[in-house]
Amino acid sequence: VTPAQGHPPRISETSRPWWEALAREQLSLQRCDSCQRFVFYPRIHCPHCGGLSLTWRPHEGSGVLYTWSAAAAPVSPAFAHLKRPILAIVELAPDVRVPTTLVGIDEKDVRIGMALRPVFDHDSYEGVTLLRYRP
Amino acid sequence: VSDPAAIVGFFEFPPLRFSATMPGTSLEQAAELTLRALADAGLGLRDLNGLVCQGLYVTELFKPSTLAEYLGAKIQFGEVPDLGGASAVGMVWRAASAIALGLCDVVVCVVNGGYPPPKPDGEAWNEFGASSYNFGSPQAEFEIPYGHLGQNVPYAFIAQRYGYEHGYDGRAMARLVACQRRNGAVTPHAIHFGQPVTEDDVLASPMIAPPLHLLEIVRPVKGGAALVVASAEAARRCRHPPAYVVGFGEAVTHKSPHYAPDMLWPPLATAARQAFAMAGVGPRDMDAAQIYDCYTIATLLALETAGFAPRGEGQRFIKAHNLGFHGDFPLNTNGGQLGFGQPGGAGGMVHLIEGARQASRRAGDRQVDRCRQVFVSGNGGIMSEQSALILRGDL
Repeated sequence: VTPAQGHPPRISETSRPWWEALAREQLSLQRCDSCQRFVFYPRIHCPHCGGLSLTWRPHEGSGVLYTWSAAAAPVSPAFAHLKRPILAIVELAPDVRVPTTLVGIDEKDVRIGMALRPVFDHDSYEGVTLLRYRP
Repeated sequence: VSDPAAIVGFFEFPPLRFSATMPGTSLEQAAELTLRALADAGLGLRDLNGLVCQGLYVTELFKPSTLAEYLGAKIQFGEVPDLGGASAVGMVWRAASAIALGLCDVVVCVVNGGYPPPKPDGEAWNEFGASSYNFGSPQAEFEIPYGHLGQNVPYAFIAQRYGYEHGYDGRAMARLVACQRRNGAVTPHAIHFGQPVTEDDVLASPMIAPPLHLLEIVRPVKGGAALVVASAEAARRCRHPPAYVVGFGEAVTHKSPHYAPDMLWPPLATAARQAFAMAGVGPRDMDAAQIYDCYTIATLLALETAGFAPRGEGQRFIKAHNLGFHGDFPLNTNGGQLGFGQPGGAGGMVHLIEGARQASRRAGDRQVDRCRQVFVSGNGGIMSEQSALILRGDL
């Protein structure tokens, strides 16, 4: 028996537009119609002002590295196939910090504040696209 | 707080190595801890009328009633806090509040540490740990698929960001560990009893998640602890000097560090400010501090957010003070969890019981001189839920 590799996202109806955009190699973010602030992760309301009216807006996808680390030991058996992944938080806009991993970069070159471009990963899980980042 | 409740007794199982098996069921362990803590206070089962519990893996639900029935206790207050490592402090202030409202006058707070037993199919406990892969969980949708799991990397996220904003002084962090391990090396039963480490040992230990070294990360052990909170009136019937609960606070703002309102200013800032205001004192009035230390970065940020050091100055504070129990800033005088071990969910009890021990002048060889007021903090999740408590002895 091959051990499971990773755990696919359990997608909810509210955030389906996020995942549909990624499948098209685009980003889409909710913005509050009342206070105009971005909302991430997707919600039924704005956590900044409590507003219940949000609109999906396109985002061009680039971001800035907010923080990172690397897992010397697997974070769980399902991720044991990854060799020392670089886990990261990338800031896409004020109030928008996304969990991700960095690809195409050596650990010694990683710098907080560096500009990053999106990588649309269609391969890690069947039928869903993950958002990873590279310089 | 007028006529405050007090911690009047406690009991800890000596920690066992993580690979060891705790004797008995979790229900039997909780019952033994409860009875021994009551006996330490000079009280008995008939005095008990409140239970705050955690762990009790024999059941998912109805924990207080399961424990009350097993003990043969008739309680008028039963509670299960769900605040991770902030729970121990949370237990005590909930007990003190129930006592202040007149619901009860002798409450035992008990955590059978250790971990749930393996499932019948041999599978170890939930691989998702503190994260949830249940449908509808934001972690199941946005974190777990990317491997954002566990504690080491999330705490390292905060430490890396600290380095970016304030500069990271690995030697200061190593000094913090070495000081605590020195305290723990002379604390009976501590898992690292007789095993001090040097700053160089810390910096030479394996890098688990940059910038965190192995020796900056708490060692899980098996154990458990209980303490007794009693009304001021009941405290007068007890055997030991009381440690009065004179201030407390709790703050919760997020679950995952990605969404912290300010990653370097965790909610302890709010909790500690409230605790100090309630007690009518400030950080400089504390004679000792027992600060939750699952990782060095947690202690560093607690020193800053609680007001012992200005923001960004915590590393300089660590290097400028002697953190031993006879030093000018006695910190984690029993070694904290880095020295004593982290008995599962009872980790917060390591700090709380040592705080009560110091305020009650029961710390023996490591008693802080003229110790009257002690600051105790709790920290749950990834610095996402935090709590603060001020204990005052009757000096």
